[in-house]
Amino acid sequence: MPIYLPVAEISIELFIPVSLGAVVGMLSGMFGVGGGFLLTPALIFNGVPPAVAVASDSAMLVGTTVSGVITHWRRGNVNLRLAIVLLVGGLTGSYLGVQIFKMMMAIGQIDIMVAILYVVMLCFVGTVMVVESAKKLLTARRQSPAPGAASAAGAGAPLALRAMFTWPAVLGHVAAPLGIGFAVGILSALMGIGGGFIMVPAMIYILGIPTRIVIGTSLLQIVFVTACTAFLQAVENRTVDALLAGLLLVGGVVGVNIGTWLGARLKAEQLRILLALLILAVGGRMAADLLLTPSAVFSVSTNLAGS
Amino acid sequence: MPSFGPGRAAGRAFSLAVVLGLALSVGAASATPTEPLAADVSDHLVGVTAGFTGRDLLLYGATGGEGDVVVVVSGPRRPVGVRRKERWMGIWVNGPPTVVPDVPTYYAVVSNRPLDEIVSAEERRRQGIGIDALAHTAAQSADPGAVAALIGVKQDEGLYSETVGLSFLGGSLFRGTLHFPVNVPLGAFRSKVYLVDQGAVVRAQEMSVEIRRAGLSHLLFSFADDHRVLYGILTVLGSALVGWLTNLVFKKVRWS
Repeated sequence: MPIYLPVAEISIELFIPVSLGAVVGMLSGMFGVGGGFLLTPALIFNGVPPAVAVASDSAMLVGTTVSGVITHWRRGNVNLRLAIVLLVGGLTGSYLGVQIFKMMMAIGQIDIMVAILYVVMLCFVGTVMVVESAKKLLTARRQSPAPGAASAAGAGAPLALRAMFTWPAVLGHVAAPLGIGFAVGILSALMGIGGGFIMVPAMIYILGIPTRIVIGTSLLQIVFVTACTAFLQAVENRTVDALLAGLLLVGGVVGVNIGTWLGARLKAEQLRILLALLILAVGGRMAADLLLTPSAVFSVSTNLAGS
Repeated sequence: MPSFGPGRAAGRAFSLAVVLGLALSVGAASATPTEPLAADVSDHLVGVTAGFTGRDLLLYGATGGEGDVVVVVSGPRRPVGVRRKERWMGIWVNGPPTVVPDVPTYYAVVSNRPLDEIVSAEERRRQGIGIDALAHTAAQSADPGAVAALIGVKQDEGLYSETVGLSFLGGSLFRGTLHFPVNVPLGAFRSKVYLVDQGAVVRAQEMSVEIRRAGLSHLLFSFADDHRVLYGILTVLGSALVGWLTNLVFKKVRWS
């Protein structure tokens, strides 16, 4: 059944956004990453204008992330003080990102910018994941029976480490989380992603925060930054298609929960390398679109006055 | 007359009745010296709803004598920017726009025979009939290369077309289909029906078709446009609410 998206101004088969949401939600439920950054390219491949894809993804991510943050909040995995610092940076970054987005729309280069950012990021993330998975598979083989998915579930650092996150320690490092939040905020707005895949490793390796706290706290940051981005995109750029976001979300929330359930039962590490290859394939296709001589050399647009 | 039942059959019967009625009225008016022409479309308002996949309108009418019929449908006129992709540091980016100041966003010509067999080239330019004529006019105030590129893109998108889509039902009655694709621009459309004899227009009649969002589609878009702040807040809150509700549902599912 085709459905007309009022802001995107295209007609799309109803099952496309719903199933895309479900698949992407499942991946992120299983691996903790793979949400927004596979969704935007998938929507673009299906004819959704890049600007609308990016902004509507942000609106959808609010919903899929809320579910996770509630669970982590109940388990006490959210460090509020750290979250506030991240958010100050994140919201500033989100605002700046939407302004850059607006400017690129005005000069007619938003599609190209989104494509370039995605190519760089997908190739980077894909490569890192392939290398990591390969390493883990090799060590697992040497140590015989694989430890399974338990290690991916954030095997929590000792409680003593949490004590480090008292005010003085956090204040001492305020610049780093502020900077990380800011950078992720900008990318979130420009690409329609949550940014967990950047924030989580950055916080673990740069700030040395326990994985459990990092995941819970970054989810809280993602909820508020994507909410801020979606709101600003709606107000400044009118690129949020609520119908599209809703359809993605319906598939997404179901997918996330199935993915979480599956992730606990499957050997996620071996599937992870497949996800990495998928990410590389998507990045490769976007790169090809940029590098190969385009089939349509000309493009036309009527929104000259709106710029 | 027996009823043909609800739905399509009734619609057709109605259209046919209108055509016959028109034919009668045309017949009555045939005493006038100029060639008479009467035509109409099955609907003057096309609603772009959530289920919109394009729309066909029935065009029907009658002529009082010899001649061919050409229908020109043109969408709202806008300035359009044409960009050429250029290589920049190895990748293809959009070049600076060349503006074509005043062109229709949609342009379709439907006739009962190929256009160049019916209307002479000079007459097409004089009357502004056909894509060639449109290009000629537009090129007077813009770069001809940009105009040609614009027309190419529009034809690829199915927004500019010339088709043989009219037929005479024997004698002076004619009917045809006006196709509005799913990517049709919104706004007030002008359609002009020409009666052509020996290469020249002898009679013309104008009518209008309005294409606008309707139903849920209209509601969402006008809300997003008129109340941006509220739309933004509600979209975000709605999304969060759905997330929260599913969290509750799935927690229950796991416990049971």
